[in-house]
Amino acid sequence: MSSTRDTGIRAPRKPRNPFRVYLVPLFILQFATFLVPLVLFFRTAFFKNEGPGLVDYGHATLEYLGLIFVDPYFQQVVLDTIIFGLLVTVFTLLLGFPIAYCIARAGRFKESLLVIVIVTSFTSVIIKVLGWKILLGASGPINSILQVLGLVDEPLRLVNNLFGAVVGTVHAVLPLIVLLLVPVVERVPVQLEEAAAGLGARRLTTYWRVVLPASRIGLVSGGLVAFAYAMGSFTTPALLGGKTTLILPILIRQEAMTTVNYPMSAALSITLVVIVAIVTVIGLSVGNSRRARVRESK
Amino acid sequence: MAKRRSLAFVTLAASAALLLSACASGGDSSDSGSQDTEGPLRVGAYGSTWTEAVKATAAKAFTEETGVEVEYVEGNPSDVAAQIYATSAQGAEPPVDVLTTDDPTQTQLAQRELLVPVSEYADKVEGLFENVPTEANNEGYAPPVCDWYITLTYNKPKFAELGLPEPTSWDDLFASELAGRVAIPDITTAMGLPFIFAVSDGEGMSAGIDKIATLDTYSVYTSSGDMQSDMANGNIWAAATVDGRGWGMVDSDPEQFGAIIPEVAGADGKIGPRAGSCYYDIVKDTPRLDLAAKFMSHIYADETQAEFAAQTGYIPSSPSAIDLLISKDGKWADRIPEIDTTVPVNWQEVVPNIADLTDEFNRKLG
Amino acid sequence: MSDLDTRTLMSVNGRAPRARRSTKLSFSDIAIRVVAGIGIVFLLLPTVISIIVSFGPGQFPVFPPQGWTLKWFTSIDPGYGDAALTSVILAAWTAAISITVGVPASFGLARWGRGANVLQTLARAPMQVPYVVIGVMMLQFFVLITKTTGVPFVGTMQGLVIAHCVVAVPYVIGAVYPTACLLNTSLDDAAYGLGASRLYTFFRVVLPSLKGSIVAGTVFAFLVSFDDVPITLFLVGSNVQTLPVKLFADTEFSFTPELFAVSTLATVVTCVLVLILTKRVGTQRMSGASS
Repeated sequence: MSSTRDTGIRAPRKPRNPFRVYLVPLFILQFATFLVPLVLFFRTAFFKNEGPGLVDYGHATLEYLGLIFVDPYFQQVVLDTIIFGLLVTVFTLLLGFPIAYCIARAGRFKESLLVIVIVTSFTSVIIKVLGWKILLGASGPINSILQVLGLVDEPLRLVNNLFGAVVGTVHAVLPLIVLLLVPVVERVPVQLEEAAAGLGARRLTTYWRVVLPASRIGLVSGGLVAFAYAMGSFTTPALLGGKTTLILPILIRQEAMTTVNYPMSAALSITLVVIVAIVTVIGLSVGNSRRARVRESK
Repeated sequence: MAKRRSLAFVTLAASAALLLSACASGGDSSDSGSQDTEGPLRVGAYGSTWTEAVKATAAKAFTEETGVEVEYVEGNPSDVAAQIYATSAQGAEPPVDVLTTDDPTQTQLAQRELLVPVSEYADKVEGLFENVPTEANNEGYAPPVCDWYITLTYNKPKFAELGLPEPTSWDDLFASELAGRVAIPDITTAMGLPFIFAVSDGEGMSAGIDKIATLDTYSVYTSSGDMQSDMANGNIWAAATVDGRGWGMVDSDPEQFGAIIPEVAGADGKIGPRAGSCYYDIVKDTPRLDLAAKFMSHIYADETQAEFAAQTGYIPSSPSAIDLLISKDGKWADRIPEIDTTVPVNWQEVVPNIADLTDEFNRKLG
Repeated sequence: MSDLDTRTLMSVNGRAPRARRSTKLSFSDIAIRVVAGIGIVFLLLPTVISIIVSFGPGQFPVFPPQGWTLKWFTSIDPGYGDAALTSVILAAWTAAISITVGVPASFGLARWGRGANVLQTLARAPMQVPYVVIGVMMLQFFVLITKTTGVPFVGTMQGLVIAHCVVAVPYVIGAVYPTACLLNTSLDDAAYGLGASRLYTFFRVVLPSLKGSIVAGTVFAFLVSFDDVPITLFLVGSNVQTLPVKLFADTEFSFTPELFAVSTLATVVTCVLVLILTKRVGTQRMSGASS
């Protein structure tokens, strides 16, 4: 590498931030193919719906957004959506972290476990849903086993309700989260755990005080991915959640495709995006606090 | 690691090439006004067995006659219509030339003037629609190609086990022994509105929705295949279904499943409802009007419809096609009721209120 | 026998050092393994069910199946083969472009300093917009572009690639960014101090340390594209059809075991491909263990 000085070693200066330019392609792509279409679409939320697919751009209105704030039906939908998202996030992390941890520390079995995780994620989402419909059905294997074992008298309602929707969505996003968390756990050196054990900590303490905090950024990132996925999914909750699980993505699809009321669907979309943005900012602030960063870079 | 850099460059170069090739091929889109006789003809149709049946019957005959291939955009009529709304809003060429429509979709598209009226192409094909009853749902647009009813499909052994008699009317769906084991169609499906009509006892759609809200269902299904799977697995014991599906269940296992077109309360003992029809319509501004018209003549032909019914269970609208079907297979004689014993759904009245009814349905059943 | 000796020995052998625990497993150890085991079974169940169901004779998917037959495999509609190929090509393009854009971006974000949170939210934004919305807005947008420039996008591969990249890139960032944050900055400071250029440092020092996450990110991008239904549903055309959308359109109409047969085949093919991939790339590299 050429250098104007002849010392051969450059004085280590900290430039303002040379890596900022790396973000340019991303933001060009985002702007042209995401922000512009998005703004165009959201714009329709402020105009009157004239009929299926027709928006009267001459007639501005806030009625659709207003309806969402005021009508208890929509308030319920918003609430259900948030609860659904949180449930999916929590259970995905509860299952995902142990799996990721065991894979990361597995040694011999690591390959096979990773293969299992990846292969199951490639099964089409439709087929996964059908599989769950059969498994969770009133006459399905799970209920049959429960009844045979005498644990229940009547079949449990496991599908076409919130339970089914959460199970299906957790199942869909779990492989992604596991794959995301494995490298994060591996970044936590085994020696750290050994050191803790050497200092007399019990295993539980080691998990709680050493491994989890070190994985914090990954957990937050994974949690946000899971939450965002839940907020965007409609196939799984629609097919497994039944009529009573009405969450924003399902309603948006209905408004966009069936009643073809673009302004309403745009208004609902804006609401959804705002919810997710708020949750994301909160989550990122929690995960990226200076303490966390300092601790991890050691 | 030079590999990695060169990989990145290769990707970028290839992407640029991809985009450039797109520009190149984009240049030759046909201008409107001139007729495209080369095809391919693009048809919107339900997926799976429906498209298979079209391929085996009308499309095959069409390609043999004209030498033009047929391509499909598969999905429910409302899915295909959504694409049409989007392209028409921008004044661009529609994504299909012909599409399968159901009553709500045809009515909505017609109201937006996105379909070609029959008068504009009837002269292109001799004797088109002469076999089909021309009382159209939407005046001036394509008449029905098949009619369908709502049936009550049920699990025979289970009914016997529960001590329930064979069902005869829609009220039988509300039996308390069936609690949590019945399936009804969601309002967004083609059979959703007719089903509400069926149980409304003649007192209006809102009354129908209220009555449905009292039912303890296993599922409010959006996909008939889903419902059939549940029924085959024993999760549900009775369901309101499209007649084609009902007969499909019966044919798959006559000992296990039965299906009837029940009595509609408040309709003087008439059965039904005669829920609706399927149509094929030509989309406005298609550059292939002549080819589309030719396709229509094939799909509305009696032979096509009889064969189509045998494969999919959807009953033809044309009386001569029905006769042809029965002569091929006698079992259909019992399944096709006399028109005047049935109750029709008044779509002209229902469609303008679809948005409100959907809202009401969601609120009361959600 | 000290841990140090074992570790030295093992790194000589070229294997990652294994966790050395006391031979007695504590309750927490067992608990975490049990939960992980439940999780793996949970992941596998629907796939296993669908494979079993694809061998059933009835025309509806029934569990447990009443017989055993291969007939659904022999009568698969060839349209599925085309659709599968399209899906694979589409996903490959999406992954390639997403990685090219997303990896440097993640690194840049990790080194941004103040305001990184806001930027991250912006970068992740597409993930937070429901896919059905993205589908509708891309459709409208593409139609607009086609009208003004004459370049077709709806119903074409290029349109699908663009739409898929929009949603895949945030996943890449989600995978690579956490690891990028954990990188030791003094490493590349040292390299820079020794005279390497920024670009060189990036390719020779940073990327290898991110390898595991990059592979994970590639898999995500591929998956997101391959499996997508809501967006693709709006953008397919009569001659461009993807596997999941074809399955979706078919299931909207009818569930036949044929669909499960298609899925079983896809699973088997994926299994084989992934096994080949892991043998070649090696789990060491996949896990990103640094040298």
